[in-house]
Amino acid sequence: MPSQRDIKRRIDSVRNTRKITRAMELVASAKLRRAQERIEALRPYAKGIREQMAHAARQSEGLRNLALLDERPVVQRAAIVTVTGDRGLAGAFNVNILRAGFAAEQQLRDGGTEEVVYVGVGKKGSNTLRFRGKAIDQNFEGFSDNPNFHHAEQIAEYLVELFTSKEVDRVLLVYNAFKSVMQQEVTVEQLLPIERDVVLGAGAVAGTKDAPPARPLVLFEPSAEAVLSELLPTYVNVTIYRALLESAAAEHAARRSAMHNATDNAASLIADYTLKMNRARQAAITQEILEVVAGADALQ
Amino acid sequence: MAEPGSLHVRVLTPEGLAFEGSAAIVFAPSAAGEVGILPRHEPMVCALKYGQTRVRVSDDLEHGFVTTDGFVTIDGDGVLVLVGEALPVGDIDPAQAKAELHAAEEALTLVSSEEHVAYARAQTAVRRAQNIVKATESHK
Repeated sequence: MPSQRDIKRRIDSVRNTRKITRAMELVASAKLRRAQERIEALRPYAKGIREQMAHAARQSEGLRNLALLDERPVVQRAAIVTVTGDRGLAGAFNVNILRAGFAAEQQLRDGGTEEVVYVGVGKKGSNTLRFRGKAIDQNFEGFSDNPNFHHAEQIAEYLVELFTSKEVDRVLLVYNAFKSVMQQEVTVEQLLPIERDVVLGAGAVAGTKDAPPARPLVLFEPSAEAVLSELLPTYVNVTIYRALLESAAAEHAARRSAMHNATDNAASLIADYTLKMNRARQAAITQEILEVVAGADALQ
Repeated sequence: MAEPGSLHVRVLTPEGLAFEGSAAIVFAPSAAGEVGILPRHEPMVCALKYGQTRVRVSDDLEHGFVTTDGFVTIDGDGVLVLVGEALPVGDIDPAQAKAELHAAEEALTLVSSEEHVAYARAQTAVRRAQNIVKATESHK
C-alpha cells in the first residue's frame, strides 16, 4: 500500500500535467480559429481560379499539349505527398495520413507501378517514413502549423518539375481535410496530371458544389490556350495551399481534442488518487485508534 | 454593385481580399503591356505579369499595388484581379526593399543553375524584389 506522501506526490505531478495539457488545448483553439480564417480568406481566390480555368478550357481548341494534363497510359513511377504535422501530441492525426499513404502505395503497386517515392511535408511524417525505410524524395518542414502561399509555391514547383521531367507519372496528395472542429477526414487526391473533369469544372471540385455558370464568349488575351497554360500551375499552387491550410486547421483541431481528453483524464486520475489518499489517511487513523485502545486495555 | 459609369474592382490573393471598391479606371500589367480598363469594357480574361496594378478611384485618389503574376477578368463592369501577392505601394519601405533585393541577388549567385528548382526559386525571389524596388522608384 503506497503511503499518503507517495500518493500526494503523484497527485501533484498529474496536476502539473493537467496544467500543461489545458494550456495546449487553449493554444490549439486560438490557432485553430486563425487557421479557419485563412481557409475562408483563400476561398474566393480559389473559386476565381477554378472558374477561369474551366472557362479557358472550354474555349481552348484542345487540351492536348498541356504538360500538366499529360495523362500517361502506364504509371511506372509515382510520388505520394504526405501532409503531416511538425509535432505530435495530436492523437491519430499523423498516423492516419501515413496509413492512407501506405494504402495508396499498395494500390498503385497492385496497378503495376514499379516505384513509389514519397515527398514528406511535415517533420513527423518524414521521420516515420524514414524509420519505415520508404524512399523519400524530398522533405518540406517547419511550417505545418502556419503555412503561407509561398510554402505552397515551393512544393508545387518541385512537384511540377518532378512530373514534367517524367521522373514520375502521377502525383497523389494525402492530407487531413478539415470537415469540422470535431472531425478531420483523410483525403487522397490526384494532384498531377490534373484530371480533365477538374479542369473543365464538370464534376464538383472537392469542397464546393457550385458548378461554374455558363458564360458568353470572352476575349482571352493573348489566347485561351496561353491563359490556360498559366492558370494550370496556379491551380496546382492553390490546391497545395488549400491542402496545407486544411491540414493545419485539422492539426489544431485534432490537438485540441487530444488535449481536451488528456485534461479530462488527468482530472479523473486526480479524483481517483484523492480518494485513495483519503482512504490511506483513514486507515492510518483507524490503526492509531486501535493501537491506543489496545494500549489502554492492556493497562487495565 | 458599382454605380453606373464606374467599375466594381476586387483584388484577390490567396491570403485574402486586398482591395474592393469602385473605380474609374484600372491599369494592369498584362503580358503584352499595360492595359487600361475603363467601364463598359468588353468581357476579357488577361494574363498578368509582375508589375504594378493601379486602381484609380478619382483624379486624386489612386490605390497602387505591387503584384506578382496572375489574371484579370472583366465581366460587365466587374473587374476581378487574381494575383499571387498584392502589396500596397504605400506600405513599402524603400530601404528595406533594396536590402531584400540585394539579399536575393546574392542568394542567386550561390545556387548553381544545375539545380532547376532551387535556381528557379532564387530567380523568382530576385524578380519579386526587383518589382518592389521598381515600384518605390516610380513613386518618388
